[in-house]
Amino acid sequence: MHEWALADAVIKAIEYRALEMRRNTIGYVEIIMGELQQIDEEIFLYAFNELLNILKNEKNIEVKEYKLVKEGVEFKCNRCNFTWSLKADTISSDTLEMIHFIPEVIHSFISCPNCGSHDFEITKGRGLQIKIYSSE
Amino acid sequence: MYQDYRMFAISSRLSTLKLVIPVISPKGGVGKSTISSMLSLGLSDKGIATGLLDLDITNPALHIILGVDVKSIELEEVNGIKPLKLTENLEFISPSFFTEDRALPLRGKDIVNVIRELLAIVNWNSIVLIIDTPPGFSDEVLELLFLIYNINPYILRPLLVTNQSTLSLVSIKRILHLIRKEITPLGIICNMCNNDDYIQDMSRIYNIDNLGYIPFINDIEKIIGDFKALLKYSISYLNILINKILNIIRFGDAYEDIYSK
Repeated sequence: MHEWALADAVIKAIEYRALEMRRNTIGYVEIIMGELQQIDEEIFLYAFNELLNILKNEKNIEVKEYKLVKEGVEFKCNRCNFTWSLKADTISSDTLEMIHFIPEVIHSFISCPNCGSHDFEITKGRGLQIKIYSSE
Repeated sequence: MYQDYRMFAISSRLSTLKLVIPVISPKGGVGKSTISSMLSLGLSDKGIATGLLDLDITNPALHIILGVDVKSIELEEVNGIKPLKLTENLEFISPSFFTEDRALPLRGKDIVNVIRELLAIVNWNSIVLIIDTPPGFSDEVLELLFLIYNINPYILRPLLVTNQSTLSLVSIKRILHLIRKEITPLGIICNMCNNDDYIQDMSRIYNIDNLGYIPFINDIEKIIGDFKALLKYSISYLNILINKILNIIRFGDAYEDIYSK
């Protein structure tokens, strides 16, 4: 269900950009899918394509091309500068579900493997991001 | 260019609200969380569909005041996340629902992300949203005012809370200097006060409504965790505040207040 809501918000952003640029065509959209948020790619893409069709048929706004790019997770400790990635199999499924909704809650559940601090940054792969290129 | 798609989800999620009331005080310890809880209980008791959001992201407390065991909650997904139904007319969301009530140590940009995610995924069914904020005038409050103001400035009516301390009263004056030109506060309420003497001057000078006072509760620890007791205690002190909110909802005088500024 969350994937549909995400796809819907992405489509609204594309529509807004097209209206802002006074264009019926968006040249290229890059969807960056950070792995921390664990978005179901198949469901998201299905929803996205369905909503793209509605955007084209009902609002006459077309996206010429899009690409989905997966981004692995990287954390960096603010205390000792150690960097590490996520091992999803070390986190319970209940916790992963909470992270799915709000990725930042990972700070409650893991700490730096080097110094134990919970003061770290999510430097890569947080969640969904989109880049919209309006040129055709 | 990067586009934050969540802004569109937030705008859609909050579009049904008639009033958003951030409960604000730059000074800590004046009772913002208690007032937020009391106000949401009082409004919902009057039959108003009320939402309550704990925006004290790193150290939420409303669930403790209201006696909600976050570890037993299973959030329901229906076109986003459905808030916890606390009473027939009161729904509630806290960051603690997502952390198993652990501390959530975050820096500025992470706090902004949590606020945007929360507002983008929660599917409110209310017409009034009460938002408890942490002390200060930093990320949580700034981001909240930014988001709501951009969606619809007319629904944004912060409630200022103070106690009789000079430190708190000075802090309120500072915040009024900052926001008064663009945002119309709902009014000011004096918590842990025996009368409203302390806010009368401020109300007159800054032309904001004096919404009364709530006396110090000697047995506050006894009613923490018992929302029915909290409602019973507070309802008689919240009449002015609740009646003002009811008038805004029913007659839309939020608009008149702003245009007559």
